Amino acid sequence: MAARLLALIAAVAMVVGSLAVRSGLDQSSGGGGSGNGGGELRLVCATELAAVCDALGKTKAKVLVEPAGVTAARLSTDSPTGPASLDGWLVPSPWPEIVQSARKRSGLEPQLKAGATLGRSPLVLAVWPDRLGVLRQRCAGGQVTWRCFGDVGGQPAAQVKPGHADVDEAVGLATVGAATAGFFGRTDLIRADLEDNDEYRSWLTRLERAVPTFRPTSGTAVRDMLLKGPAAFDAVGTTEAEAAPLVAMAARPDKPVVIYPSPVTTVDVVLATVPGSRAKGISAAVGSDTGLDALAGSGWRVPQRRPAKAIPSQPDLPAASGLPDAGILDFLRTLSKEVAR
Amino acid sequence: MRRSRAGLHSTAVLLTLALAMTACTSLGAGDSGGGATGDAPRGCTTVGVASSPEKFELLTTLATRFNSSKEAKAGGKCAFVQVKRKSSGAAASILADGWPNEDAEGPRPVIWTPSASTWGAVLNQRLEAKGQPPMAPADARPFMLTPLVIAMPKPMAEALGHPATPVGYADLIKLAQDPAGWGAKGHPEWGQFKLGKTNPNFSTSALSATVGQYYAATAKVRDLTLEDVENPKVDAFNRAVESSVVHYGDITLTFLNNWFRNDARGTALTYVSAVAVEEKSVIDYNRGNPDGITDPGERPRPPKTPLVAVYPKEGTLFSDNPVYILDAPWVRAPEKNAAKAFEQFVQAPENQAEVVKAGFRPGNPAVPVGPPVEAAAGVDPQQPQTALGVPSPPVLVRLIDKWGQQRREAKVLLVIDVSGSMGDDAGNGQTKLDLAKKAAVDALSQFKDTDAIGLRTFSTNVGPKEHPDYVDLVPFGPAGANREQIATKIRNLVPTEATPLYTVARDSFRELKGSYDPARINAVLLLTDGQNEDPRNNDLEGTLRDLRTGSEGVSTTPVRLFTIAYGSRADLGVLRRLAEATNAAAYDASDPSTIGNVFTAVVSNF
Repeated sequence: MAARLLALIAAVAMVVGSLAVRSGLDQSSGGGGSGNGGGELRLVCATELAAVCDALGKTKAKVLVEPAGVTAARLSTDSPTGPASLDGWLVPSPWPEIVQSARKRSGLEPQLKAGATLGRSPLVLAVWPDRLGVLRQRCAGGQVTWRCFGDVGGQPAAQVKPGHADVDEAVGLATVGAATAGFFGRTDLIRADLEDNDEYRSWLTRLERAVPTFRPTSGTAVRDMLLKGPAAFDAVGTTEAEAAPLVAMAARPDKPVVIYPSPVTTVDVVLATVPGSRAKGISAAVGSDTGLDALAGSGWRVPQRRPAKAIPSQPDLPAASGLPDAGILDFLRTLSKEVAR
Repeated sequence: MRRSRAGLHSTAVLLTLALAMTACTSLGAGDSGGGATGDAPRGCTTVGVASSPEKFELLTTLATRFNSSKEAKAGGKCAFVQVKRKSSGAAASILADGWPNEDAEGPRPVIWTPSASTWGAVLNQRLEAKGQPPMAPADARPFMLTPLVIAMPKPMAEALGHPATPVGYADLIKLAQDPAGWGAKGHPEWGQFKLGKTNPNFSTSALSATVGQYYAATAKVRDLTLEDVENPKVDAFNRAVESSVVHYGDITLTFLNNWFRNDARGTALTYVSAVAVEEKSVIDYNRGNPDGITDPGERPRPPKTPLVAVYPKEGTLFSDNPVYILDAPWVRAPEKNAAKAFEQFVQAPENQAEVVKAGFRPGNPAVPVGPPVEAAAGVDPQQPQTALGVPSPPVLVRLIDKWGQQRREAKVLLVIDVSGSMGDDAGNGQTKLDLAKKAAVDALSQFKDTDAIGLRTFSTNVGPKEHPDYVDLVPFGPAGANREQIATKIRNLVPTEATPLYTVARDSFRELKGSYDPARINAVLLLTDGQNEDPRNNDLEGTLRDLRTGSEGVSTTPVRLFTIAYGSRADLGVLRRLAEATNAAAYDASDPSTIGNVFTAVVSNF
């Protein structure tokens, strides 16, 4: 009898104990990136890089996926002791620089350190074949440039409905940046170039107001295109990493085509770390086979890694991204939202 | 927009076995409601799904498949999905209140999948107004899609130039306001242009159609603003659309079923000219299955006059059937993880193929749109050409509020049974009449002040000599002025004698025909708990003939008789025939506790 009682107590203790552990796990999995996670590494990924967080979240880190603009807003106003909510931020450049500048302006210490580029993806247009014909007809010499995308997309006749992600998403801001650099034909812009040029502001206003929505209900503009057809968008600016695999797997008979407007412009992924004892750990986790394979597997071009299916070897990528600098891109975030209203 | 995931805690690995056991025992018996896929096995994490009705069967099939799949057992866990039917608008309202009554509404859902993400926006806005965080995540993926279309009988659409000429709301308004009606298009035999619309408080089609109207009125395709909604010109445009509505409905099914019945009688072209529905409904109708459900013994028979889907030239919205894994206080990490497994499962190509078979467009781009989404079914997979932006939540909520003012006014005679059986016990110490009185009084608030409403009660020998079977307690008057008086009279009702159903149905219908108000929807709302018990008038066929004669063809005084079969002894079959004879609908409240919801649904027709 006593043995049975002992066994019963032991069983109850096991159940209670395992419930307590399970409860702890539940809380941690629902907790996002706040807190110190009991020693776990904490990684925040920009939305475009969710696949890396998904992979590392299984074993190596506590992860959070959110738009770059949301993380930037939090880090820009964090306490003077630094951004305590993460050890690393995987994001396209120059978002870490945007945060650093914002912190400086607020009198806060710049605490992020961006590492080397981990992967790259050229900006592309996913466009319906017949609309590509219209674009080529309207673009000088039949060559689709970022400037021409803005010219044609912003026309009131809406013959080519343009699309891009919200400028709080890294790829959205990069697309607007590429179009702006295309408008001016150079990347060494200063704020006054944008502020004082009426022609540019009208051009950007027309383009941004022609975008049917910056937050399509299907998740991204390319997905929306594939699910809803030409009703949604005619030409969407995004990364090759997103567009090429999606278009390749799409079952529509009338698939969009993926083109690389001139000049080729890239979105470059970096890991920004908070200097300290955990920086090494998070760098190692992201730079591990798991991290880099996930990055390459989700369509980014990663040195020494086999590219994902549907990612072509051409075009060759330029040495620099071809985007304006962090300050101009940060200003473009504000300007784009302002003119889109 | 946020997603989070925790890595496995190292110590947890040592306790995998115990965890697997306790993960299940701690959550297993969460839902004892039975549900569409049976009871959850002991030890499984239950994922309750609140699904909009049109995909309930499809999701139930997929849930059954999921529950026995390896995906449901991934990671040594056990997930079990139970699907419940809940209309989108009703679920949005209940969730905004925190889903307070699980006895009445079923268990609190982990997944909510309304017809369209507009409802998620409405829910979040209502929560924000209460100072509460959003429940519907912004990054929810569509399960499947179907665009809102204007369904029209093929000859009518062709008379407007379809498909060669794009047709839009503006064309329909022009036709609706033309005194010559369809005569302006060479078809005077079709009478006036008549629009069928559902109520945007409940119906996704109606909400999308109302949004579409606003865009058409503003010549915009995105960024509808509160200023647009308040613009007097826009208001006038919408009032013009609403003025051509024959009657509203809680669901599009009412129109489609009536259309189908009229088609069988050869009167499809005079019942209604156009109804805003989802593309999938056109496919179902043309298959000969207007409600999309094949009941036992039912053999779909295509209609004589098929419908075609007109994609409004101003643009349209898609019903995108988002799968919201709710950020609600009752949804914890294990439920979320199990829900994610189900969400991924329904996206798998083999499961999305079922979506296409059902007449929807897939939510996974890897699956092609195919039959029955094809021209032979009256639809065009290449359309629409313009997708309208979902307005911001405050605009959506304001737009629904405004509709309450813009909708066509109604003239409704409430006819309530006070026969002896209404005094029967309905549980909780209340009689059936007690429950009906409360529901009727509550429903009065849904009428707008300028609606005309009157109150009649019926039972044998309650009225004056000239009509002993009924008594008019409150004559027609504006709801604003009559509401309190009617409420008081209803509260004072007592059960009396027998049920002279046929006489009161016929006389009420005739009276409305005689005093028809062309500016309003004219209708009788009749509630009864029994069957005809009137020896002086037992002529059902004669009554039906009377009702039908006044309703078929190009009637200049269309009156609808909506009926509520209340309690288990009500003659639902007869009440359905009476209602359908006037192109209206019967509502089943055989469970007296549902009378509140049923009253709400019926009143949404006006």
